[in-house]
Amino acid sequence: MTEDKSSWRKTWWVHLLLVGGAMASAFPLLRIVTVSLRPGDRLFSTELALIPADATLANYVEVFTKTGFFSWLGNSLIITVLTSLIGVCLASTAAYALSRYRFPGKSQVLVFLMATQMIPVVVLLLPLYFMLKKLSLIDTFAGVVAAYSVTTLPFCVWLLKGYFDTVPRSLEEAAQVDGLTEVGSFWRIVLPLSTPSLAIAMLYSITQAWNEYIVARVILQSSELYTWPLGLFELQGDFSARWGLFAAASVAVSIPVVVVFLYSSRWLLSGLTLGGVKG
Amino acid sequence: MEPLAALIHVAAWLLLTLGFLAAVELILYWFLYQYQSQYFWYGSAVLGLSAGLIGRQIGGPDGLSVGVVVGLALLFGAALARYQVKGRFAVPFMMLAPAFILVSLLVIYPFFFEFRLAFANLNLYSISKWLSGESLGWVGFDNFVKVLTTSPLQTATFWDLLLRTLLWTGINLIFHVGCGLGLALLLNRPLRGKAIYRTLLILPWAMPQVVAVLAWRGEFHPQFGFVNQLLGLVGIHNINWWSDPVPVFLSCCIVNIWLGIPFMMIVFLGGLQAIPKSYYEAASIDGASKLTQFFQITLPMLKPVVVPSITLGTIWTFNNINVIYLMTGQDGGNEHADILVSALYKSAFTYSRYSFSAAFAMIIFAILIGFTLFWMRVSRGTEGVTS
Amino acid sequence: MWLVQNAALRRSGDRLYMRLFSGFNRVFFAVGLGILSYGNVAAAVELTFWEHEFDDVQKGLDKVLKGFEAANPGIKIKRAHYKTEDLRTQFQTAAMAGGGGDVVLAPNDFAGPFSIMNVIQPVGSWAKGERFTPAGLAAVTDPKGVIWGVPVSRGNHLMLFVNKKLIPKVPETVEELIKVAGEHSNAAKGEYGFAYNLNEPFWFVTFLAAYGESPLVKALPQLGTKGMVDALGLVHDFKFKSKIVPPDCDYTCAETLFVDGKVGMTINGDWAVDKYHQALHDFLAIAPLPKLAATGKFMAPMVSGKYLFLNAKLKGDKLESAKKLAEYLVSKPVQEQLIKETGRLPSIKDLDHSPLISRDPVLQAIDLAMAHGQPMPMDVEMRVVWDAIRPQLQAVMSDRADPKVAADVMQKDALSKIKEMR
Repeated sequence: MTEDKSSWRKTWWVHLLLVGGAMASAFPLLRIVTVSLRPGDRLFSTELALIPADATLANYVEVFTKTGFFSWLGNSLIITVLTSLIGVCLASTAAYALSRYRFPGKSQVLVFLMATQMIPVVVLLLPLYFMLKKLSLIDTFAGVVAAYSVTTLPFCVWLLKGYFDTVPRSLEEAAQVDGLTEVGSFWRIVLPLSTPSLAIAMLYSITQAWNEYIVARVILQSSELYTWPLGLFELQGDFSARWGLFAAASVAVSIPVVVVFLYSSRWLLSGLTLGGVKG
Repeated sequence: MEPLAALIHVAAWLLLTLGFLAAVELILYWFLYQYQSQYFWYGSAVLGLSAGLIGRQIGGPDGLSVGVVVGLALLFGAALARYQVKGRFAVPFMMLAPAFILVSLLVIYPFFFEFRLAFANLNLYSISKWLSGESLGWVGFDNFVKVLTTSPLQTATFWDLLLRTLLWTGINLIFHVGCGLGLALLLNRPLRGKAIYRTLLILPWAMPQVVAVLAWRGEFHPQFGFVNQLLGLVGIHNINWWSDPVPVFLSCCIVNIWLGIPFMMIVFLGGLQAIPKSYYEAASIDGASKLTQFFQITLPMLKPVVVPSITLGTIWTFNNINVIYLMTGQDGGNEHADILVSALYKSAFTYSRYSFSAAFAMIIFAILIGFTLFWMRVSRGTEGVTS
Repeated sequence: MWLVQNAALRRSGDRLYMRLFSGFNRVFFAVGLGILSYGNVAAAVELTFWEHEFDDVQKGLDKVLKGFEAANPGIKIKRAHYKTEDLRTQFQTAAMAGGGGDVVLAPNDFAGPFSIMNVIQPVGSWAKGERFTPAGLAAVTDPKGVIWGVPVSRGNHLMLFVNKKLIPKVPETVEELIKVAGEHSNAAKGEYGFAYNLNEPFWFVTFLAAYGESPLVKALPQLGTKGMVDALGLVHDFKFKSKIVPPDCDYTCAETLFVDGKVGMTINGDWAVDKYHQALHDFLAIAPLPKLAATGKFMAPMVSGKYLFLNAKLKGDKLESAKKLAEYLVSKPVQEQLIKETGRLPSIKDLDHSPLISRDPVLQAIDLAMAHGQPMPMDVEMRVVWDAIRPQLQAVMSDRADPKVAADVMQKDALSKIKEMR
């Protein structure tokens, strides 16, 4: 009976901590919802209520009808999907090679990939702009996707390599005895077992590409091509901003991402076979 | 029509990229599998020539030299493949090639450009000369000396900034890893409402960073913000989160910690999922306590996942400009929360001191790569766990 | 990715499979190459127009630009919006690569760095400077007399806004302002009579002018003066002695308080007039910044305006189109349209006494508020001065620094930064 009681108490503690964490996570965002529901552009108010007394959906209506909101979302969607697909595809094969094989230059490649993260992006903006201009990729989606792929690839490779390392080789060896090729074992054994890591890599690429502002600002110049961060900052002018619209658009933009995350949670559960082969 | 034209452009670029990657794979295939064929050298010469022509086409005014370099590089690669590699590492090379080549192409030119800039003197007054065709001069290590001795901002010197950056990175990392691991451990068990918890806990990462940081900035507002109101309830008054040195830095830390925990949590969670339950069962049967299990099973098995995430997390935190930039009110604002990168940004864009900032960037790069090499050696993080 | 891993399938001995996909790869490559060499089709002359205006001004601008396109078929204008800081940094990056907006509508400090970099071109040869209000023109003229931008509107200056519901009489001197605000302030209850952007130099220099000082004279910073010390002391006392301002007020805070009717007076610029008017209607009073009775001098806002800058790369057709656009924007009927659409004061002398201004109390008030203004220097050193003042001002306002010390540090800072910029 004591075991039951102590595990009940433990579960209670776990829930308490998680609820605390969840509240801390969600709270600032709830405040944004509050700003979006306030009429006018009052970022601050002397009132504290979560849902203001004069709450109105006018800001949302205006964002959806009078701004280029859906065009921004569409553009962001295209860029994000492309970046994450390219990122995950290229990274998975590279990570497999780095995980399963020993070849000259292996650790140099790993360090090189990590080194590309060490140079602050702001410094690379100028030469990146020059280079993309020469390739006529300025003010195009292609240029943005190219720039994003570069920054997401290294992390995805490292992440996937780490996960691939935990998949026991014995599984592949057994399959290869049965006639599977190396690429085949990558495709049929290692990949399916690594769905959590693929999901994380995908989510990472998605968040990077979806939320990015600085590089998109430099490359995209036509308002028809604006991603949503650029569109959002159109609502900011000289000194002040249309805070109500800003907040409403922010909430509206976060919803797709949260939905994706929700949907992705089933991929985050591992598919690792238990009792396949004793390593 | 514009979006349609844009989509076509994207499709074209996608095809081009796929074609380019296919070409790379073809070349590698030729080198690694056909190195013994009697047509090897003819084929390699053709490949080298066509690559050179394309390089010349894309290279603009320096086309010819680019083309020659590319062609020669290819021929050198052919020789290397035939005499040294001999098809031994065909599969890994071919699997690694696309990602590696894409990254290096887009990173190499900017890096060497900045490297060259660091030894020149490109600033507000010399830009017009450079734009009208004059070449950049050479000033040797002047810029590096300036970076290390003068102050890029008003009062903070390089060493102040370095210290602050190390402090910033350390504080953030401890909380990111600690809380991330803690939350992952809490979530890695059968629990009611796990999906809801996970979704809520992941919000800081899913939410657009700009929006979240601006929201937090509002919360730290000395008058209207939630933080001061909450503190007022416990009797602490009048902390000016926006202008006093220590509170500004603290507020940035808090925000960045809040932003970074979900990511670490997810990475750890994924890693924890990969550990078979059988290990734990076997250990309990052998009488190991929960704590021993944690240190002997969990941590080592998390290593290949954790080490790169921590390394990259450190690098990103070190170079994180967004949070500080947005929290201190964007341009101008405060310098008390500035770390190396944000000072770098200000000197480059506010004062147009491009060479200074290039030298600055090189120094930051040197620091980081020194740290990484050292850390890699200590943790031997490039090795797998099931080799 | 299996498409490009075809070569690795060789080990499995599947030659046909492999050859098939080698073929596909070649096709893709050829198609891609073909698309790459596909060139651009040139249309009518297209000018890119960069600006950083607030939402409603953007709409007004669009109307004006449409009018231009209608009057000039064959010229298309593509407007691109940027945040204020981004306008400068993006233009800089793009211009260094030979790009950047063809024409830019920006405040006068845009001219400073870009005139030195030579990425914008002087307009004096064709812009006929005599037709513009002198103060506005002076703000884009460099010490050598070269004019770098075409004035499109003047203003962009600070003025005093008063909520007549709370404070019926507009104060005429700073001392009166302090007294009136004091009557409405009760620090213990968190009530204040006056609020403005405390830590921003742009606001602070208006007080500096009341002591007869200017931060930048002939491209040299003048920050270590007695006037600076006095001004720092004055604003410091607002917060700590007379306690008429909320302890930590920035732009948004001051605006919120004023719009919510919690504070009777604020200092803000002509860009905020519309918003305040909507909030307070007839209770809004706009007045020039008051006089400091102690010195007899008026507080002076920095005056500039919005200017049209032309990219240095413009030549031939594009240059002619840009010139046409400039002429259009400063022509009398369009200037009148701009007054109506954007609520900004015109830049041409012709409209100085236009009934459009004198009959509109709001515009009239804005015009009067400009009377004591000082032209904002366009020199690139001004940026350094702002950045030198800001941290010290903040320190004084947080009671962390003594005004005398702060002033000296400011001056030293500015001088060293100016030297480093070379």
